[in-house]
Amino acid sequence: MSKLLSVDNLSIQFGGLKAVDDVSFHINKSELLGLIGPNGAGKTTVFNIISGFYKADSGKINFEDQDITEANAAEVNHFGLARTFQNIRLFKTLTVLENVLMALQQRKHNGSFKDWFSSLLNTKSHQQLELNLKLEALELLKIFELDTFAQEEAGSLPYGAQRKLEIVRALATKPKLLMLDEPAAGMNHQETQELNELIRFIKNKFNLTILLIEHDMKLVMNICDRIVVLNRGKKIADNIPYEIKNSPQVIEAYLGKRKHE
Amino acid sequence: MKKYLIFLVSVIVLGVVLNFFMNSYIQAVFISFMINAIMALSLNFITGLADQFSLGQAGLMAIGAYTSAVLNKEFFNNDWTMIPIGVLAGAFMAAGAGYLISLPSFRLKGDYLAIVTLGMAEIVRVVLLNWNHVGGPRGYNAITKFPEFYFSFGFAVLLLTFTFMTMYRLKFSWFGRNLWAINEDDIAAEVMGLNVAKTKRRAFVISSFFAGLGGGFYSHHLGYISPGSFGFIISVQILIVAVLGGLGSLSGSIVAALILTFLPEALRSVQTGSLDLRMIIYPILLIVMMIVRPQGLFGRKEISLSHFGLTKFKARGSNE
Repeated sequence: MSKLLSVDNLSIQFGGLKAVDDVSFHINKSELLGLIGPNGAGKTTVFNIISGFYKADSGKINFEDQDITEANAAEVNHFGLARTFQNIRLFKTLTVLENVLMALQQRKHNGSFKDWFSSLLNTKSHQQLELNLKLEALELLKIFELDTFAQEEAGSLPYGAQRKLEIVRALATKPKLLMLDEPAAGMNHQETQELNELIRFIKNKFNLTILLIEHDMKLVMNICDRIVVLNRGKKIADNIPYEIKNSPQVIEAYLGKRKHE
Repeated sequence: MKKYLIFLVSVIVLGVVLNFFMNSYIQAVFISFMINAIMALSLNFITGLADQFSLGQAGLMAIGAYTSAVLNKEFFNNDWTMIPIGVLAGAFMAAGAGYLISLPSFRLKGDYLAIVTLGMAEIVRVVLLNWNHVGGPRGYNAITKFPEFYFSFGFAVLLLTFTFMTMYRLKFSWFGRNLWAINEDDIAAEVMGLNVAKTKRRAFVISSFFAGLGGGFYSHHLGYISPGSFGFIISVQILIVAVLGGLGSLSGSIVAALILTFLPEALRSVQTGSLDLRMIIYPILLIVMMIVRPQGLFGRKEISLSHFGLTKFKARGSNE
């Protein structure tokens, strides 16, 4: 199997706190990797470094043999990584359709002079381009059964649908690697179940590789091919779910040490 | 096609009415209204759509005004037919200045950006104040005006239409969507692959261009400019117009400019003896307005131009 993303010796320090300490892991193509760990383990920090929000103090990130360590968030997206957020970050007063359009258009409108003038003069080719974009966005929404909400404001959707829309919006940027930051946060049992199926579905449908941060152990154990466990900024395990479940180190990190009699 | 015809006819009718049935005072106020509208639109583009708080619009206006005025006097021999070229040059000059300002300052957000743009406007004012060649504190005199009202009116309508249509098209295009997205959540916008800083800079350059355009025409409308005409208070007045119309609503800016230009003039007649009611009524109206409709007259919505008689509102944005 070939590596899609590899993270080598990543470290970052906030003041006196080593939030991420010499973490290395990789993701293979079309793998579903889970990133877990107790609160404050540094999962989201790793996410933020990979997606270009933080600059690592040391370490390297390679994506498809390209070095993306120094890339900012927008550039990282153009390499083919898309992410969602722990607390939903939709464009709330834009319609559902516009949310997806905004993501789609980043590949179609490059801001060239031609682009500017055709939209200022509202030319035929510009209208055609807009129409195609809208159709593409609608098609994408249809796959996720969100097309009935297309003209509604994103902020007015029910919670589960907002989560879903955030994933759709990330998919609209046509990523190779999708990074989901606690997609099940705030969901009830049934919604988590649906999310489980949704993640499987998009992975197959769009031929994706997925990196998943999650607290819901049932979900993680269910769908992940492999799991990386972080604790206090350090990687403590990297294995298949079954082994992780029975790893004394992981259990210790979550529950503490058993007292010896 | 029909709506353009209706627009053209109503402009001509308005022009004829103003030219033949109104005195020069009302004509001048009407042109002031259109300049105010251009200025409010230019601010609305950056503050309303992109949510970047700018307080430097008067500085950019000054750059446009002085460029156009000096150009006409020094190089075009006070030829009034060259006014449009001067105004356009002023707009480009302001856009260039806007670009230079945007390079360092768009790392900042919110109040910080407001302070930087405010400082920039003050620098422009102080430079002009100490620049003897353009009059210094005495101001720049005897700037060429249009010989007839209908030239002036026609040119103003042209500028306002150009400003409005450009911004309207941009608002509902890919660029406008990017600006809305930044306005809503700039982090998410960046994750979608949008270069947020670049987009903001472009919006600011466009805004500066139209501020320069308004300023350029302003100098030829009054015939006299001085650094005092572009003080901080002017930036604030422009902001008041944009906020009253609704940040994000372009047609709102025009309506608000109409109200806020004519209202103080209309209230002049209420003046009774030593008591200047104008200065009481005007602020009270603004305060009431802000209490009743904090999102401005139109919020983010636009009046649809396709139905001239019926004002039809397009559902767009929220705040309602």
